[in-house]
Amino acid sequence: MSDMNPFVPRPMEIVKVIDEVSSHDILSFFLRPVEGEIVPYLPGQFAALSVFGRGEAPFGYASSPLETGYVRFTIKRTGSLTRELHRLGAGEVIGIRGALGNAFDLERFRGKDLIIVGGGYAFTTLRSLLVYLLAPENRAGVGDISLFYGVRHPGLFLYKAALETWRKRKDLALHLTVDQAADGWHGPVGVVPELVRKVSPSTDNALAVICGPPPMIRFTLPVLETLGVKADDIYISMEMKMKCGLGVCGRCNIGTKFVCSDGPIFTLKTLREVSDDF
Amino acid sequence: MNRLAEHPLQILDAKDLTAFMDALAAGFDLQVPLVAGDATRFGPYRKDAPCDFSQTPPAHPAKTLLLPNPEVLFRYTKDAGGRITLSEDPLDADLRVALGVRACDVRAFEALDAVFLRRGRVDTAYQARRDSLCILGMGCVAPSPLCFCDRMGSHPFDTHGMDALIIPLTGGWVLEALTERGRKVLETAASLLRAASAEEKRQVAALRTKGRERKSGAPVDFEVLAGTVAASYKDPFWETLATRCLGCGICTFVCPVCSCFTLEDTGKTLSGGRQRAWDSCMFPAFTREASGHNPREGMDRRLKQRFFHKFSYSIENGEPPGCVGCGRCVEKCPAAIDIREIVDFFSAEAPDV
Ligand SMILES: Cc1cc2nc3c(=O)[nH]c(=O)nc-3n(C[C@H](O)[C@H](O)[C@H](O)COP(=O)(O)OP(=O)(O)OC[C@H]3O[C@@H](n4cnc5c(N)ncnc54)[C@H](O)[C@@H]3O)c2cc1C
Ligand code: SF4
Ligand code: SF4
Ligand code: FES
Repeated sequence: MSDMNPFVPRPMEIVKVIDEVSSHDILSFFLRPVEGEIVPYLPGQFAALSVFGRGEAPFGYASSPLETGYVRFTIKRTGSLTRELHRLGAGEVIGIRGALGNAFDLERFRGKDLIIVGGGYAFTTLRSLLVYLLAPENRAGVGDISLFYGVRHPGLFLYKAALETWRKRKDLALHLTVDQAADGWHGPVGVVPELVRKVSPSTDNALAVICGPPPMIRFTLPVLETLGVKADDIYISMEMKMKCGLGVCGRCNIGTKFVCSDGPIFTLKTLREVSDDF
Repeated sequence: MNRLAEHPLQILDAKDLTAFMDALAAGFDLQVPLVAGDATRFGPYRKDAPCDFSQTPPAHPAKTLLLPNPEVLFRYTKDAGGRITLSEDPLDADLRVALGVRACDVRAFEALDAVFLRRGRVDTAYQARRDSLCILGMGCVAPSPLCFCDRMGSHPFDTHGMDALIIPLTGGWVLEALTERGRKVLETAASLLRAASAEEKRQVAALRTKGRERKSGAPVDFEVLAGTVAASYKDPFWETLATRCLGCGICTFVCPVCSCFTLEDTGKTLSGGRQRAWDSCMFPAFTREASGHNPREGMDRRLKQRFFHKFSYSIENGEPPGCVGCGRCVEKCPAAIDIREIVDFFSAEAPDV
């Protein structure tokens, strides 16, 4: 096998699978290479996972590069490949191509306060980022962190154990919200953009990061801009249907930029420059 | 000094054409425009398969030589213990000789090179096929009235990117080697060739001049076009065009520059391959996500993607323009959508400077 052919995946063994949500349609897969080392990656990047005979699809790294011995992906069952993946368990072998795409511009995050906004399964990428930034060796590198995260109902929060530890931290302001009121839920009810508006975190020295479904992004952007975050300081993780992940199959471009190879992380400023739809 | 170097213009008499192809096929993997219904398409030369060099250009684009459809990228097998073994087919390294490729298709190869060799990771299968391809191109003595390569920075006798040029005359072919590789390939059939006479040289010169002077319309200024197209995102032009377009994708399949593809697994869980197959930005499923969301659901958006990519994104990204003026989409579109009219519309919109 040559290492040169960019379409050939590397075999990965599933080490462990965990059920993340009450609807049981989002699972985390812990993978380790059948041979060799884990390919280095950074928060914000993604990989294409293969189920041989089924195909390949892109998923953001949910683990942080500081977690060693495995890579983690959190995957929602949606169509043909993800359904097949959900049938697989420990010991089975799938393929990985990656790391693909750019990453968060961690250099620019230095010394900045961060307003982090997430929703849906896109929160996977934010887990990678948060675990990375909250690690003792990195925490001092950035200022205050405010995290906004919303789901439809409380059972759908990903990474509940991590959220519990983050809630206790003094160096992280955690704001969770649910769309529908539910028994045992004492937090706010409503959509994420509303909560951001209500909390109005200071934006004097802040960068914002958004990962979520398109409507959440659309409604959060004006809130952040009204609060005073500049378009160049808002980072958005974009999603488009993908095949190659290498900027060549031609389907994932927004104007002149390919989400798979120039992105998936773009500033709002860049998106406005390349597209009339932002 | 060998004969071809001494006399750059060599003549192959019409009666020796089959012997010439036999001689090349004995030494190389020879690809010729094979008759396929009323079209021609490049494929391996066989004595019993008729070929036809008269279509200008061949109905099927020569990109089939570089991007076979479909193409297996790797194979997998899974054994009883669940172990996965991956393998690749050997790359095409032996010299392949393509006979009769037109200037437009050779120009288009450069646009494909930009995608598959220079966007990021090198596409190894494409590169192997590209490097091993010796192009014996053919000048267009009678260009189709629908093609407009002269407007796109080329002309019917453009030799750019070719290893040799063939100019068909009534009694046979004039052959001119342009590279060392082209010369070596022609040498293998040297016994069938003779130096051109003064009269033949005169004919060739006259054809060349006529070809160079072809003017099917005003030359396109790609920088200007890129700007007006980019500024047209909200122009109702696209919605009007969308009411005519059927979204059939024929334009992209016949286009020598279009190279969008999909990846798909063939076979079952235990063994099979992942293949690349041509796809089209004109199909709604091209960008439809698992959730059902589709950023290019409307036909107008898909048309914009095709033409913005060809004339705006490519130029802005420093890549060759996405149209070489072969005229195939003009001929084949069932809705009579004519890319020349689109080029004219946006070229005319250019601000006067
Ligand atoms: C950068 C990026 C990161 C992502 N991260 C995650 C994640 O962490 N967790 C998660 O659950 N999902 C993630 N997704 C979405 C995930 O890729 C799709 O849910 C998945 O492709 C659906 O595949 P399917 O075969 O089950 O669906 P089908 O509808 O059967 O799709 C067929 C094929 O089309 C392509 N495709 C379809 N929808 C999408 C889509 N939304 N994005 C990209 N390709 C698509 C894939 O190649 C897929 O195999 C991410 C998408 C992108 C672009
Ligand atoms: S061939 Fe014509 S009708 Fe078909 S997709 Fe292309 S432009 Fe539309
Ligand atoms: S866009 Fe049409 S005319 Fe231009 S190269 Fe493609 S098929 Fe030929
Ligand atoms: S997924 Fe192929 S170009 Fe981005």
